Amino acid sequence: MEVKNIVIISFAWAVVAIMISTFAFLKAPMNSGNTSLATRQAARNAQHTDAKTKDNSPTEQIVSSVCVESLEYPCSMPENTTRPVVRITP
Amino acid sequence: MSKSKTMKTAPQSNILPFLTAILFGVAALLVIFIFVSLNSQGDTTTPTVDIENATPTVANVQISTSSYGNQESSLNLTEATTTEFYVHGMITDNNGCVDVATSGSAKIYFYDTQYTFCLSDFADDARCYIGDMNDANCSFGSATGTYENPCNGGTDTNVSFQCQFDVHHFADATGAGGTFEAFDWEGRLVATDGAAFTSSSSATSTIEVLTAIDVGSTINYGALNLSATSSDIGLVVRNTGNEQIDVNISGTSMPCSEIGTINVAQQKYSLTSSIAYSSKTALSGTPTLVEFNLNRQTTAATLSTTTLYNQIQLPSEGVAGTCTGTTTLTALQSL
Repeated sequence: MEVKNIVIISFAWAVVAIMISTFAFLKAPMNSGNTSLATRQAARNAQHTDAKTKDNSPTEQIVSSVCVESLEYPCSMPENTTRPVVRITP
Repeated sequence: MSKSKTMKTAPQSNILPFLTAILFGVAALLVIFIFVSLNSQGDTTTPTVDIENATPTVANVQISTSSYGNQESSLNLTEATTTEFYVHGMITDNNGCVDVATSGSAKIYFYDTQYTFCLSDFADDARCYIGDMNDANCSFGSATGTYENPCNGGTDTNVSFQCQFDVHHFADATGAGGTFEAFDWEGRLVATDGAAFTSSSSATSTIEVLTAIDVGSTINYGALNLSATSSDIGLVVRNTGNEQIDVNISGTSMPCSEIGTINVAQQKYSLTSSIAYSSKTALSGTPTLVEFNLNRQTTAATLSTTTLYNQIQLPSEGVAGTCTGTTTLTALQSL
């Protein structure tokens, strides 16, 4: 066998080795990682109904007072100043 | 003779090419061995299993006036104070409920849908309430009920989560006739697991219009002589609802303890201070609309009030003693 042929065969072996190595490299498993974030927003709750109108117009009743000053009936402190506010619920 | 001559001339220099070939061959095998051993992980015989993280899911979100109660589509506020509303839902994580309850987080937004900034964590007393698992008013389920479920660890994948919100009386009105009628109040539960995978779900309700006022105690004009006119007596009126209001005002005459009665029209009022008695509006037995245009509160710290200034002028004769009457104020939503 001539030297020239031996060199060619050796290079051929080297090429085969590189091809096998490349194949093995590509065959190696990739890191799969996590899947992208999934947005799972449920459909909007459709339980809204037309609300009832509540009659909530509150009324407040307060006391007004005045003392009429006179010689016959001198004013003392009005008795009603401490009476609470009367709340009328509709 | 010729045969032995041939043997002597055998070429010994041919060994070198064989050695070279062997070296190349060994080198090639070495390269193969190195590459295959380094990169061919798929050919290893060690079994491995990758368990991918599952995104948590949220379901059955409900808004209620009671803890873990049924969904309520209409919510009513309480004047001048807060009202408790609850938002709850069920979280499922196939990696186990602890992936959310321990390693992750849960959060609930309760807000008027016109205010989308809420979902960026901009809380607002009138339109956006936020609670998360670290808040005292929020918690994962601790018992088993219709909508409540604790996280028991291990293979348990479900856990409920609830927040209680103390909603102020001035929260946006989304009910019929409300300023924000075109919108809803949404309760949105957001669940995040230990790998930061997140999902959410929501329910909606309506907060109704609340028209309400709170007024000061009494109108005490003090002691006056006949024909005298009192000074302005201020009556503070507070809007304790969630819409701008006007007020209907009416009154009664004032019977006196000794002699006579003061006519109701002797009392007058104005929304402006230091207005002359003659320029004020006389009180009437018939409810009269006064355009207060009193806005609702927008923050818990600042009340929304205005003052009604009242005066009385006594007649020149015919009354004595302490005279007492009533004044009635009714709140109406401003149009």
